Amino acid sequence: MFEKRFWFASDPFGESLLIISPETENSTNYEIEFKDSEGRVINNVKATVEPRSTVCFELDPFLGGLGFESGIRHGTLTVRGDHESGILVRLGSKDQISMLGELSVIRGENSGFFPLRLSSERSHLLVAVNLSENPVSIKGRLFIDSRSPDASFDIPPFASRCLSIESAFKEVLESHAGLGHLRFLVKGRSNVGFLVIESLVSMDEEESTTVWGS
Amino acid sequence: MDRRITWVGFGMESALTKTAVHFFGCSTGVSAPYPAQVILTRFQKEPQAVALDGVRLNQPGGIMLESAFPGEVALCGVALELSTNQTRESLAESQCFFELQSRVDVVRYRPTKVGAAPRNGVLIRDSKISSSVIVINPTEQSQSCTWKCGEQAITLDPLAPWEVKEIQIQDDWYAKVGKEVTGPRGVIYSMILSVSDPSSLIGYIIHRDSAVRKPVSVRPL
Repeated sequence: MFEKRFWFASDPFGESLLIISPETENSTNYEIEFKDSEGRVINNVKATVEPRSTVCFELDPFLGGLGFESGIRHGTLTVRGDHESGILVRLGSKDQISMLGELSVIRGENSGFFPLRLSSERSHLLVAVNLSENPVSIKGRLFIDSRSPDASFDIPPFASRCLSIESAFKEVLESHAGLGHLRFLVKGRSNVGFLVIESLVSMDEEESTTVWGS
Repeated sequence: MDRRITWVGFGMESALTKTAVHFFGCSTGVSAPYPAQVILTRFQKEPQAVALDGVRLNQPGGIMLESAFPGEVALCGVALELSTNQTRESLAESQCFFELQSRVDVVRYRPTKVGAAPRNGVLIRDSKISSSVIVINPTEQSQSCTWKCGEQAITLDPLAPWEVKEIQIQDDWYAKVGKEVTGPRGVIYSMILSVSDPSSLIGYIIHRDSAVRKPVSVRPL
């Protein structure tokens, strides 16, 4: 028995496809639970996959009732299965495609970090998913040059949030370009899943979005 | 007690693609910025190593590979060793990212910790993405290993010491052992790749844009 959690997004940000490949010689039973960004279960799907088969689900048909948060329709899905399986979310956004694996999880009272390419042409969203039934507070510290400003974010139980790095650290980022690092500490005992969305708006107004996690 | 951790991944250095490495040495329950040591190694049949100055626990850091090792190399192995002299601190919670940067995109991935158990991976081919495998020999000995795709065993030609190479997945692999699904985005072929005998080789699945071959995602094996 296994359980894996993934983040997904839907129109107009992108389209997500779930790809499941069981690794056993047996039929594998799956239960897929979809949650919106507030942590509400919006759908539940059961599937059986024959040995050495692959299934692909376009997620949109299962996302009725999915609302916007921070301008993006997004949420999380949990896949439970009775045999280990290879699972990816294929996220297509305009001309960009990303293959997302399981959410990278930081346990309570531990720290994580993400590198950031900072410039006036780029923006970053930190996606944080509270995987517990308690509210969680995340303390972020941005390291750029010799400065290290702080910001705090609160995430309700089971909710996911897209947090703008540029807004949270507006005062120091308005004039900064170059490499930075965001360190974050999960307070309390909750586990939190993270990934970062980086968007680029180039001089000719073409937009490119890269999504990445672990 | 993990007072020394080594991650191994790969990089690309060309006019279009640059590699950055980022690290965050941390120890559970310790917030003091104790000094730490980082040794960065780049290799493609020959290893070159530099020590990075000023590294501290609980403070993220990063460096462009070209600033440590000038010169282009299409594909290279990269090893980052983090250690501390603090005898009571474990670095087990430390983290590392490698980035393949182009002007527009960045592909980031977590490199494999030396000693970690190999994982299975999903190879994909559809109208926009195709997968290949990057194999890294971070040792001074020739190494080979056997993969399994479905029921088919594939033995790699031995890799020379410190060799790194990209192995293209031939269409007939998918025909023999892959699965074909007609989905909303057209036909998708996929198969599970597993490492069936442990070795010191480190592998990654790299998903590339089929049209222009730029990397779009990297998943460790």
